[in-house]
Amino acid sequence: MSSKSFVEIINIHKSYGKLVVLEGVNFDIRKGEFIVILGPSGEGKTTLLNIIAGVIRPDKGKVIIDGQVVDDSSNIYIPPERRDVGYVFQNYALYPHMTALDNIAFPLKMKKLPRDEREQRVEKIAKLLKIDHVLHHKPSQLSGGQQQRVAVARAIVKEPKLLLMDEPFSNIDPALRASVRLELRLLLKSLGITTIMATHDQEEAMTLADRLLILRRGKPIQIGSPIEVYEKPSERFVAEFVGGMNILELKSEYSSLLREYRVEGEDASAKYIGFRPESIIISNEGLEAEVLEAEFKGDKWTIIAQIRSGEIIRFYNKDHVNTKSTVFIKPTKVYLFSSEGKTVKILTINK
Amino acid sequence: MSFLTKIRRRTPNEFFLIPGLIGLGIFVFAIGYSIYMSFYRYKLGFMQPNYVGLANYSMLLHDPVFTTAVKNTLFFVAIASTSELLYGIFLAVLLYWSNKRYFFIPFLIVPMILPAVNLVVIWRFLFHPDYGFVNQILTSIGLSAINPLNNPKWAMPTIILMDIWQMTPFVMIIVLAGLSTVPPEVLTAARIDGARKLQLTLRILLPMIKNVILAVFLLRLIDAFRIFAKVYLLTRGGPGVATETIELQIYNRALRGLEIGLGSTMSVIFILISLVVIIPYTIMVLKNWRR
Amino acid sequence: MASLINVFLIVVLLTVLVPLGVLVMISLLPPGEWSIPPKSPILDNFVYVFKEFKFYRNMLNTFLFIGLAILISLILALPTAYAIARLQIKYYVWVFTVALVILVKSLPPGSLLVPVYELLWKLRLTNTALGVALSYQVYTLPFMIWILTSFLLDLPREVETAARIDGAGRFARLRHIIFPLSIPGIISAVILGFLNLWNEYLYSSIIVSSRNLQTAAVVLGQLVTSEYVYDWGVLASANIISVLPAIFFVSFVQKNISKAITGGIKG
Repeated sequence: MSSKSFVEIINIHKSYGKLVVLEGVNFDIRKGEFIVILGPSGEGKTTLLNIIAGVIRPDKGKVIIDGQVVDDSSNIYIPPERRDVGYVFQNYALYPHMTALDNIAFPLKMKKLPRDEREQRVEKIAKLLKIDHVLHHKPSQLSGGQQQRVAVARAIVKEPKLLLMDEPFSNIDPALRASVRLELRLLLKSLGITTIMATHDQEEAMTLADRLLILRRGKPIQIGSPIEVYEKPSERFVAEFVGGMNILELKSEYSSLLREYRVEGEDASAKYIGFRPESIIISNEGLEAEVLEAEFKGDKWTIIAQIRSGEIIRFYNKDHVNTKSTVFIKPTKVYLFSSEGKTVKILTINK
Repeated sequence: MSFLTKIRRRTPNEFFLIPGLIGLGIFVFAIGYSIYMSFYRYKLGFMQPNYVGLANYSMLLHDPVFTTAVKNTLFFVAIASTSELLYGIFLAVLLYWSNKRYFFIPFLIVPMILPAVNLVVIWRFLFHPDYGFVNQILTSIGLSAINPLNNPKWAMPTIILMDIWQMTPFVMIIVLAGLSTVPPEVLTAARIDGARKLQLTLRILLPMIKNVILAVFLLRLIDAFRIFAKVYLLTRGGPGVATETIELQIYNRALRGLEIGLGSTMSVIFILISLVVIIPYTIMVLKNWRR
Repeated sequence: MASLINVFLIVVLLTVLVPLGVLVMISLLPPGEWSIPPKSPILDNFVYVFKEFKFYRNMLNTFLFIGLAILISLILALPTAYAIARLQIKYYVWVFTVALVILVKSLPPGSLLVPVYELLWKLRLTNTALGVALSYQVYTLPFMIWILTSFLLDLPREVETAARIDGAGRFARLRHIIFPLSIPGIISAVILGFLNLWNEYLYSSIIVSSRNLQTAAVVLGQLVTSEYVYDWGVLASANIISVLPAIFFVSFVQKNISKAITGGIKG
């Protein structure tokens, strides 16, 4: 593995009895990167975070942090107390009987720092997170957003090697979510803290991540930057999960569409064809579709139409289109998928 | 890394069990010691221990006083616990359906916190042959006075009655708590199917809390072996040996008489008898607490 | 139907209240009179019990013995309960410990009386507060371990995981997290323990022989078993006085009582 890697996750497997929770997870993280583990709920993200943190042990594989093997699934195991990671739990897990100040200071207390140094560092971090005015309250007296910031403060006050976050924004008021996210990312980047965050919210993942790990049913599906994952999804699942895509079974009537594209021979393994809502234009030829609904989105309209073979297509259009009218739609960028769902070819219309 | 920290890291988690195990261990040691001493005759402070093999056991098992004590103890345990269980379930069900539940509960709990002594005072007074309250009423309506505490046939039932009065609330509270954990949706579904309170109780509620009922029954059985105080204070084991119990025997012969050897034998027999209930209970708890 | 149930309950309530009422009325009887209700009730009995009989001394003894016993038990029980509930320990060790707790808890204390007494006698601890407190461990130690374990099993796991990540080892977690969070459990355990032991008779009567060190329960026992009880009034008022702390406690924790008892029943 490259010596530039700060964290290495090597071939992690974890099962509970017959249930396989993680299988063959492999990736490297560079120092200072913000990595997001993206996947549907309950499919292994939290387990992976817990293994990296040391709360549970993998059945197979290795975890290396800053050059040190912290777990090799047999004899080498460094418990969480000594791994120097920070963790923000989904429901924060704040110490209910301590004030916010004591909560945040606790890791420093465990490091046996003297009291004034502790208080100094807590004040500093609390100011950065804008919670310095509630430090003397107990968690039950704080709002959800304040609790979250206390949890983050507690995780980073000890300047850990690695920060882990499990769906940290899921309990934040949706209206505030966007700004809270960006503020946090800015803060973490400015402090240079390597971060791994788990979420099922693809919009969140795309906004925050330097790189994404897409995890489905415990298996890593794709690793890459948001742009890579969006424009070059490795599988049908990724294409649908990130950004949304209309997918049709490839039938003979659509092969006429393919002739528009630079096609070097018919690709025999292609079973499905997909196109994103934003890659569709209304023209005077293409697929015939009847408009069912038009939803106003502010800067555009989402049109829901049904093509002759019965499938429902969603696409964006600048202007309104009357329902019940018939339009001809053409995709400008098309993805071909095999019967197992793997991406076979990505074709762009040649103008 | 400091030396202390090195030691701390090496101590396995099991070490945390030590304080409690030491305390409990002493009592286990006591049991072992009893078993050992049960083969000796030994009067504390008067003579040295003297090996007699199984003589103590055979003596006790042929001793009419001791065997009566065992019979009485078993009789009490079985009858009292069963009555308390049934009565307790009955009361719990009543409370469950009552709309004034929280009014009744505090009062009904009181017997549980009364010391045995209080009960004895009340009972002795009520049933006093000369001026007891009960007898005052009976004589005033023309019936003859009764004296159950001095009557070999009625002494034990009176004690059982006393225990029922005191310990039924225990069963009641626990069964009631168990009933409260039955999800209301189940009841609502049954109600919609047309079931009325009686059927709901018998067919749904009680079967759903089978485990609670079993647990509380075992608990009562285990606890029923501890009736020393009531018996001692009320009847001293009398009249004759009608209410003699094992604990009483231990108290009188072993401790007052300082016969450690004989007392150990009695203790061992006592433990063996109570194991009949303790072992199923232990298995039940272990299954429940397994993580 | 609902009112029929309540009627039933009122009848049951009476069966509970009447004997209690009788006790109260007995305590108001002047010596020599036995009619219920008393024709000329007096409160002198209570005064006598308190002032001359110095009953409060016995009650204090009871308090002292039980308090000491519970303190010892708590110190021994908390780490053990923590290990059973939360730490990773080998399975057969865990089974062994839990089974042991249940065993000692279930055995009739009478069966352990002989060896315990002999041990105390040899250590010259008979007739001392410490001796009584140690003998009470038969009741309190398994009880405390039991209740604390039950309570700790219900504490949220995540808070402790957070503490681990914050660098807290076992002792640190026990001291800073587990102990403070288990205080409510400890309080109900202490209260239940007191209620349990307040009326303990068997051990208390055997181990203590000197009059001024005896517990309330023992003294009451001596009073009631005298062959010919003349002064029922005194007897009854002494009983009522000794029950007052318990009633006081119970009214305090009414709603929690059933939770506490059933908490002990979980398993």
